[in-house]
Amino acid sequence: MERRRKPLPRRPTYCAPFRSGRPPAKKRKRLGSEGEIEPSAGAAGVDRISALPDELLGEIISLLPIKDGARTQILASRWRHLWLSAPLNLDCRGFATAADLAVVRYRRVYNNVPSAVAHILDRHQGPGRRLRVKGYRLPVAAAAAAALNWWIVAPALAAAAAAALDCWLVAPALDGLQVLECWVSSKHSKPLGPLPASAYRFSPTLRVATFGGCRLPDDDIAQGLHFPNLKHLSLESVSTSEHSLHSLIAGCPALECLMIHTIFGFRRLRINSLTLTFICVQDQLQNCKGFSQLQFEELVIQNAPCLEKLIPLYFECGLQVSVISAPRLHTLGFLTDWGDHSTKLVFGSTVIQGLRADSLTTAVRTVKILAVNVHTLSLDNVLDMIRFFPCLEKLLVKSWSLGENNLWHCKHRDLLTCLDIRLRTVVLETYLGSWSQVNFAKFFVLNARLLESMTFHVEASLYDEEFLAEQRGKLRLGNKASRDAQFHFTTGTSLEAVWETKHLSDLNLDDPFLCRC
Amino acid sequence: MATREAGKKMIMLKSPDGMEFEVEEAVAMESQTIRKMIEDDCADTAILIPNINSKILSRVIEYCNKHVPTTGATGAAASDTVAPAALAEDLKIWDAEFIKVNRATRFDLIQAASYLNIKGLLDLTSQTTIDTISDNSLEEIRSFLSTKNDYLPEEEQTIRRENQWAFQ
Repeated sequence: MERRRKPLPRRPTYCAPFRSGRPPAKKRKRLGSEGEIEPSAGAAGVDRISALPDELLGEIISLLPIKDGARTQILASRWRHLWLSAPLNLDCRGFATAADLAVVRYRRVYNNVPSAVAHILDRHQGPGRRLRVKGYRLPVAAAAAAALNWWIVAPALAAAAAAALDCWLVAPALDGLQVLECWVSSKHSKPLGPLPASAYRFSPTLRVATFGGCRLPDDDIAQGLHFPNLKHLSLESVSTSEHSLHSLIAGCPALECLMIHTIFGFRRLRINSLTLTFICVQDQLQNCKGFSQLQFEELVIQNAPCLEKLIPLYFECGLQVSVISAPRLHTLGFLTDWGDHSTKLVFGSTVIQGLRADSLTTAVRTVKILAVNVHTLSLDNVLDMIRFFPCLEKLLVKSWSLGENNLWHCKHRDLLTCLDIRLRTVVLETYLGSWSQVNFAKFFVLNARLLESMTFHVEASLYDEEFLAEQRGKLRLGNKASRDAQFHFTTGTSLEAVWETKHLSDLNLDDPFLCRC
Repeated sequence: MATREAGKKMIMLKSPDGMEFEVEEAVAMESQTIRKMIEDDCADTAILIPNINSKILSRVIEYCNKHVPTTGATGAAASDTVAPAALAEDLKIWDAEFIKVNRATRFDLIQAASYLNIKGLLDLTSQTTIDTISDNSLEEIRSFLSTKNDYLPEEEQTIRRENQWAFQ
């Protein structure tokens, strides 16, 4: 779906006769438009790719990592000029050699970066397509850090990194940049360097932006920023004020996905967006209690008519999410009940702390997918969630402790007659076959009449035929309530990847909790 | 669904080798080029698609048929079901099968996707091509693309020298 919505940069439709790919250039033979386009011809021996027009080959080259892109110049003379005029895709990770990557020698990788980048930015004709760079890894910053006491030079370091980035960002080869992923300081750096002002010059064309390890602009600058085409915005380890962030988001009238990974300098973020469909927030700030800056503690979805997925991941000091208006909210999670890290969810008059609801006066019928990360697996709490989200179709549960036994036969006998369980998919992570988990799962095996699939992610060390046979018996899979239900035992994990998410690009935006097993 | 059935409008696409394909307007409009023609009212009877022969055109239509949104995708209809994510995953699998074609066909598909301006298909075909280019030796790439090295040794040396960083 996403794919269709992205506007394609205008590419001239070409009617010119295709050129045959046999260089040298002077001898190129011109063909009629259909001359050699006979698809049934064997692939071998006929150079068909060279027959593609320049701009199309340029698009293909721009998808390649930087070194591979530049190397295409040496394929044949047909390719020689292409890379320099193809949209520039400059990802500084691309300068690493396999040997560097094997031992993660980032500093060494980046040592060669400035000269190479200077060379590229100098020669390339543009336009810019994508730039990904970590300013704090540049030698100017890294050398200063190595030579001096890190803590003393930190401010100078941040400024040096920002200045080095600034030099790059002004290069004409980057004009028209659509994707900018730029980290100024390291996430541990204090203070953070400012986001270079030259980054804003791409605001008319940017579609995807990641700003990391930096201070976002002050209120007065942020108010003047306008990103008419920006669809994905990711903020990672940034400091900002509430007003600046609100202005920044308000300046993105096409924004669809927002990822916030560790942010400070304000307490509350209010979302008012007619276009946002996806929000992921998390906070990995260590020692947050002793931290001097203001903490991000509350997310208020004030008005988000298109919001479908709301993904609060890990919050070191907990997070309150208040939903005032999100009529299309479809996917929610993780809700967490882990002490300090627990989520507090407020829907109208209902407050859900962790997974405990204080009163269930309302019900939210739009939510179909719910993921929970609980310390102690409690069927009672999960059933509360099912009452609160009565249209729930998919439930993902990650639990840690063996916890309570979740006996339910006597307790929930009355409830079963009135509770309409519409669950189609249940996923249980970290399944060890404890009675707590068995009883929990058995409830759904025996009572979820619409169940289609139930997946148990089993600890690899336990996974053998004997274990599976024993579990099948304990779970009474033969007495399943839904005739079509399928049960899968696997050693894979689907939620770990979500949990470890660092960047927006790591997430499956269609279904962040899609099981890949 | 009823309204969709009733409102279904058909478009005729013609390939230069004389084949005609009748497709739903919504399917044809997956192509931005055709969409523009329809919106500009240039598509009364049949649209001639130059440069794309019937074999490739039929594959392109197959792709568009699969990728056209199945519902009106408006308002509540889209949020009433869990389908989009599962659908997206199914589509990926379908795409992977679809692109298992010989190189010649793939390059023709790139060309067709570009001319018809079908972003999804262009992304798919281009990505498949670059997957084979990255991480391979020059000789392997040349062999894959059936491109002959027509440089003189000294020309090749110059390019290597000028882009030393890329050949390290």
